[in-house]
Amino acid sequence: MKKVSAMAGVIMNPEKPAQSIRQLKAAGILEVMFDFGLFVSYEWIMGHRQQKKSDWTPETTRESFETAMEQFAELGFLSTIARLPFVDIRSKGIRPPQYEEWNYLILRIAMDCIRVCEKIGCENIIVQPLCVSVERGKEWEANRDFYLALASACHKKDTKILLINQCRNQNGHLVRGICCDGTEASKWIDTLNKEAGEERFGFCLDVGNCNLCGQNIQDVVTVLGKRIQAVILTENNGKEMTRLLPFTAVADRRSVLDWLGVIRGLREIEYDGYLILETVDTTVAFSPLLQPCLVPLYKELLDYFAMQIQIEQDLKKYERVVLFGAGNMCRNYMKCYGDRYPPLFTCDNNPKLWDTEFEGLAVKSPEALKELPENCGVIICNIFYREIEEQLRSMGVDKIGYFNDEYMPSFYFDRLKRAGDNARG
Amino acid sequence: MEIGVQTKNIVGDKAPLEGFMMLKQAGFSCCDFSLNEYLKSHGLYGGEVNPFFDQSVEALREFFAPKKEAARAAGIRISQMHMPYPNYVPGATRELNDYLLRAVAPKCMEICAFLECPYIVVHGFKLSHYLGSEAAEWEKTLGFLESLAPMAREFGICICIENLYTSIGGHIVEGPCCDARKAAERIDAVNDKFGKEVLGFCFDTGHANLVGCDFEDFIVTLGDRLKVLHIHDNDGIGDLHQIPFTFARSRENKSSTDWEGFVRGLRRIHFDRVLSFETAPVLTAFPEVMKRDVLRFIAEIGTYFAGEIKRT
Repeated sequence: MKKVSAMAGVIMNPEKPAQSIRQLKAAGILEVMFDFGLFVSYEWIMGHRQQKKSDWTPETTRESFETAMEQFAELGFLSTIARLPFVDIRSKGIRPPQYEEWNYLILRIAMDCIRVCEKIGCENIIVQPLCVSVERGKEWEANRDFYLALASACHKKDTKILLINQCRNQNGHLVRGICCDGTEASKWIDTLNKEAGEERFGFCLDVGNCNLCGQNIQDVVTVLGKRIQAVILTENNGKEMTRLLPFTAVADRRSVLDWLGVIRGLREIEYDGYLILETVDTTVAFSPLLQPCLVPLYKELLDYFAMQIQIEQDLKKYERVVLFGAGNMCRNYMKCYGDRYPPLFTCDNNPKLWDTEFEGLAVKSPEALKELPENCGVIICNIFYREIEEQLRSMGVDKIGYFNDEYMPSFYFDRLKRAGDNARG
Repeated sequence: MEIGVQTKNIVGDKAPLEGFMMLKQAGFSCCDFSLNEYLKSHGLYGGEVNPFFDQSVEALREFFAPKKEAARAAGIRISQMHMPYPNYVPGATRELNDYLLRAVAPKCMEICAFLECPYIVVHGFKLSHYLGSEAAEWEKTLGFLESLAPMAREFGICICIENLYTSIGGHIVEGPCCDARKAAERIDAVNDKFGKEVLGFCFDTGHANLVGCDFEDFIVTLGDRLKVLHIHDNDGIGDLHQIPFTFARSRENKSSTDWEGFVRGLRRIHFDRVLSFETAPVLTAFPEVMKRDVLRFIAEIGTYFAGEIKRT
C-alpha cells in the first residue's frame, strides 16, 4: 500500500518546498500527491477573463508547476500520483452559455498537466469529472468525450486516469453528484476502458465526499472493487466541505464519518492502492509554528489505516498463527477469524491464565513461543502492541502481526463468557 | 391524483370524525393512518412495550371500527398506513423481538385489512453495523417480510419498504433500502416468489434528502414499484418532517431540497397514486388555532405537485 499525504497544507510553500519536504521525510512520509490546483485555478482565470483583465496564458501556469516538479525531483521527492485542478462545485455563476468555454479551458489545462506528469514519471492522475459545467442529463456524454480526449493525450502505457466521486450543489446542500453511485461509476470506468481499448481508467474514492452525501461507504467500496486505485482519507462534519484530520469531526465522543464502513469495505476488496491523507483545513488552522508537529501524527495515521485495512491480509501471510493475549481482543479474534485462521494456541503474560483454556485455545506462557513451527506468525491481540512487540523481538520472534478489534467484520449482541470471567482488554 | 396526509396530530381516538372532517375540509381525500402511534419507537428502544397489541384481533377490530366508520363518513380513504417500528431491536431480549415480529406485525396486517387499506409501510431492520454488511441486514429483513407475505397475498395488501437512515455520532447516513437499484431487484424477487404484488416501495423525500439521494434517479429506478410516498422537507441535517420548500441554505434562498427532481421523477414514471405528506410535526410547531390553515396549505402544495407532475 502506498501511503502519501495530500500536498496542500503539508507543503507550506509549493514554490519553495525544501523545508516541508525535509520535515515530511523526517517523519517517514516519502511522497505527496502532487496538486496542480495549487498552481492554477479555473475560477481565477475565468473571473479575470470576464473582467477582461486576464494576462493568463497556459505557459504561465505550465512554467510554475514544471518548476515546482523539478524542485521536487531535485530533492528526491517525486510524486507518483497527482491531482489535476478541480472546479469548486460550490462555484456560482457558471451558466450554460459559458459551459463550452469552461470545458475547453479544463481540457486544455488537463492535457498540459498530463504531459508534465508523464515527463516526470507520475503515473496516476486524478481527474475531476466535468460537473459544474455540464447540463443535467448529459453528464455521461460530456464526460465520455472529455475522458477519452485525455486518454488520447496519454503516451505512456502505465499512465492511469482516475475518476473521482463528486457532490452536487443543490442550492447550498451538497448531495450525490457524478460518480457517487458505485454501480454507475463502475459502468463509466468499464465503458471508458473498453472505448479506449486499454486499462487507462481507474477510480479514486474521496471518503469525505461520501460522508457529505451520507453514503454507505462500505457498499460503494465493494461495488467499485479493484477499480479503486486511490483513496482520499479525510473527514468533515457531514455538512460542510472541509478537509479535516480523521477522527476530529466529532460528536458524542466519536467521529461522524463511517470509518467502520471504509475499513470493512477496503478489507473486503483487499485494497492495496494509494492511501492519501488530506487534512488541509485542520493543518492550516494551526499556527505555522505548530504545523510541523502534526506531520509525525499524519505518518502514524497512514500506518494505522494501512494496518487496519491489511489485518486479514496479514493473517494470510502465515501458514499458522498463535495469538498473544487471552482477553477480549482474543475473544473477538476467535469470533470473527477463528474459523478461517485457527490459532495453535494463545499465550499471555499473566501466569494465572497459563494452562487454562480460553475460547477453545490453550493459554500458555510466552516461553512457548520459542518453539514455534516454520512460518508461524505471532498475532498480538492486546492493546499494548509496542511493549509486546519489544518483548517478542527480545525473545527472537520476528514474525509478528497485529490484530485489532476496533473495526470488526461483524459485532455480536451476545458477549462470549468464560468461567469466572476475568477477561482483560 | 389524490392528496393525503398522516392522521397523527389530527385524528384522535375520542372524536375521529372531527379529525377526518378536518382533513376533508382542508382538501385531502386520503390519509396515511398512523398505526405506529399505538406502539411508539422511543419506548421500544428503551425496552418498554405498552400492552395495546396484546389485545385480540377481534378487540383491535372493535377498537378501530369507529375510525373506519368516521373516515368513510368524512369521505377520506385510508390509502396507506405505517406499521409500528422498529420491528427488531438490536440487543433487546428475544422475548421483545419475538413479540414484535410474531404478535405485533401480523396484528398490524389484520388491522390494515380491516381498514381496507391497500398499503402498509414497514421499516427494514437496522443491523448492518452488527452483521457486517447491508446484504446480511437485508437477509434478516427479507425473512421478516416473507413471514408477512402470505397474509399480504391473502388480504390483497402491498407491504412497502421505505428508504431509511441511520446515525453515526448524530450525523445521518444511509440506512436500509437507500439503494433504489437493489430495492427494485429485491421487490421483484419477492413478488415473483409469492406470485403477487405483495411488496412495493415507499419513497420518503425527507430521508432521501438527508442522505443526498438523487430524487429523480431514485424514483425512475423504482418505476411502478413505487406505491406510496412520505413527502416532507428538512434542512439536510435533521429529520424534521416539515412542509416542502421550507428550507434554503444559500443566500439565493432557493430550496435546498430537489423538489424539481422529485416532480420530474414522478412525471417520468407517470405516477398516479396518492401524494401523501408525512408532516405531523408541522402541526405541533404551528399554533393550534392555525391547524386548519396549515393543513389547507399542505393540501395546496399537494395540488401544486399534482399539477406539475401531470404537466407534459
